[in-house]
Amino acid sequence: MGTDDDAFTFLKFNNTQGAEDDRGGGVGSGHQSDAPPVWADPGSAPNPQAAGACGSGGGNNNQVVEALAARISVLNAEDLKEQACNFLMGQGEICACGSCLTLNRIEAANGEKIVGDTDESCISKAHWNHEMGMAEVIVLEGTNWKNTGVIRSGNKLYFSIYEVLFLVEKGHLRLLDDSGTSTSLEDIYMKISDENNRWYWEEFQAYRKLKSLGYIVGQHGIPWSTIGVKSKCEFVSSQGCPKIDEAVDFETKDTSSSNGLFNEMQSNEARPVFDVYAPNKNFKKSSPGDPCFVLCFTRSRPPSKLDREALKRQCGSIPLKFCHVDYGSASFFSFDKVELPTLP
Amino acid sequence: MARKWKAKDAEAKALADPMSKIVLQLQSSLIQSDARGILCGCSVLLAAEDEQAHLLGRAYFGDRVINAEKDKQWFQLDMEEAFFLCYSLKCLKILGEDKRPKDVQELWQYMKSKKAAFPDFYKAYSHLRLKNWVVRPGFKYGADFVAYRHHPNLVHSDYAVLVSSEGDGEANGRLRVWSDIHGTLRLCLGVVKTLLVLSISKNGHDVASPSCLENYTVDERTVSRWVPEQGREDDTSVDVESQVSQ
Repeated sequence: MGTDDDAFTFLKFNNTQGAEDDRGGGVGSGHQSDAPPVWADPGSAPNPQAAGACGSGGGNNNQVVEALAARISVLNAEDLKEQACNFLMGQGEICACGSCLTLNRIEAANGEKIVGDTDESCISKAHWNHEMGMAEVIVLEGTNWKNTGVIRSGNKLYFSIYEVLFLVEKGHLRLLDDSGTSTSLEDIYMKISDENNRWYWEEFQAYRKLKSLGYIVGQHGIPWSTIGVKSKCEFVSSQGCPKIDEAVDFETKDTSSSNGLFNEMQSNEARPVFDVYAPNKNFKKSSPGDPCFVLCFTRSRPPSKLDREALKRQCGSIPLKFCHVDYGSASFFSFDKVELPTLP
Repeated sequence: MARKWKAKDAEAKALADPMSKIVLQLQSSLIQSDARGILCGCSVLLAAEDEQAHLLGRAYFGDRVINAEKDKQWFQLDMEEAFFLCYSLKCLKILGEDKRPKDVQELWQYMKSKKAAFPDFYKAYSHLRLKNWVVRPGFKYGADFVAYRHHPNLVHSDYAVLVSSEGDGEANGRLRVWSDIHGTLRLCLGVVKTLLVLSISKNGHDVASPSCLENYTVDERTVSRWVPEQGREDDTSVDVESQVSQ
């Protein structure tokens, strides 16, 4: 990406996050940092969302590239421009400067990569299973899947909606529809749009944050594997363990019937959503152990004492944390019971 | 959060001079002198001779009132402090405008009329004081109280304390919105305190008389922000327990 070029240092790269990604999640291989660059001048930063996978933000990026190149009054401005293009493509965005557009067209015509980050050979493919509310993995590429997806009968791997979103956003997964054509990220975003008040997007932001730091995140109460593993329903509550088909079905319009298990919690606005495990190279789906904590969400207000007590009954001895997502950032809070010592 | 002793030998000094003993000395001194405080609004004014003044200072009850009087020192006690000395330690009488000591029931009614959540606040205050923590007003830190493990000369306070009541009517309304939780924890981080929420459950008992206090229970809970970037290497399940159990 040319980051070591002295003339290019006005772009400061924050690679820490990417390094952690590789260590923790390790999804795919050979990718550089996924962390956004820290732009020296905020005004000149492209909007990473604007480009996305649909490539709609090309014009924006083009302006940025031109602006960046113009800003530096060195002799080899063309070199810089090229590097800026390469950089943007490395970030999974489409650069739309004149020369790149030509290149892109050639690549597209050859059926080759258009977006720099997505090498076809490391993209897995999955097919959405409406009945299960999960994506059945058809083609699995890359190496580290030890902590993504659940294993069900027939040794099949299924991804939750959160996992699908995470992987598709990163360009590691292609979600196919019934006819076998690739679902765009826009369509997936449309599917989780909030008609049913099910807060997928809020929950996903917490998922994404934890996942990109290497935490292992599963859906609360949904076993990682049904093969040769004892159910971890001990701590789920007397109401029983949610079956896989109760998990997520974003086609269902009637939330009250599909999510009956947590009805009581929903009226209290508090619900357990994720089981979170510390980063762990030796994580096994067949014996995941107890999570570090159960991540719970509320509708809009912090959990009341009653909310916390009800959740505590459901989750038993597993500690609870509560997530607050606002303006795109997820914060996590603990309300831990303590006993102050009697002092001398 | 790390405990902050204010000097190298402060911890040893605190151990050698336990707060429980200081409070006992204060108690017997006040009983001996048949101490009487004057009820003034939401405060109680108390005059003390040299030694007693010294004990009040060491146990950290009240604040000195600066005045020109030379032979005695005046202290201003908060309602919780005064009621604690009067009701729990039984070493202080409190006079109303008729110069007659008020009985406990009268005082209880008076203090409730000044502060609706007084039963909860008093339960929280006395709960900590009976565990020999030094409890001071916390409004400077956006809290109800701050709790020190010994005299503030020796140690910074460990906890900013919020009192949480059941039901909506008498509650102090804190931590009901996320912005308040964010703000309170941000402030606590800045002043190196742990946020301690004491939830008072009345267990179906009313607030008619101070004897009800015995049936109230106190739930101690720390509220903290967990930063996933920092917590990756830790076993998050044990951090808070180990902090507090020392």
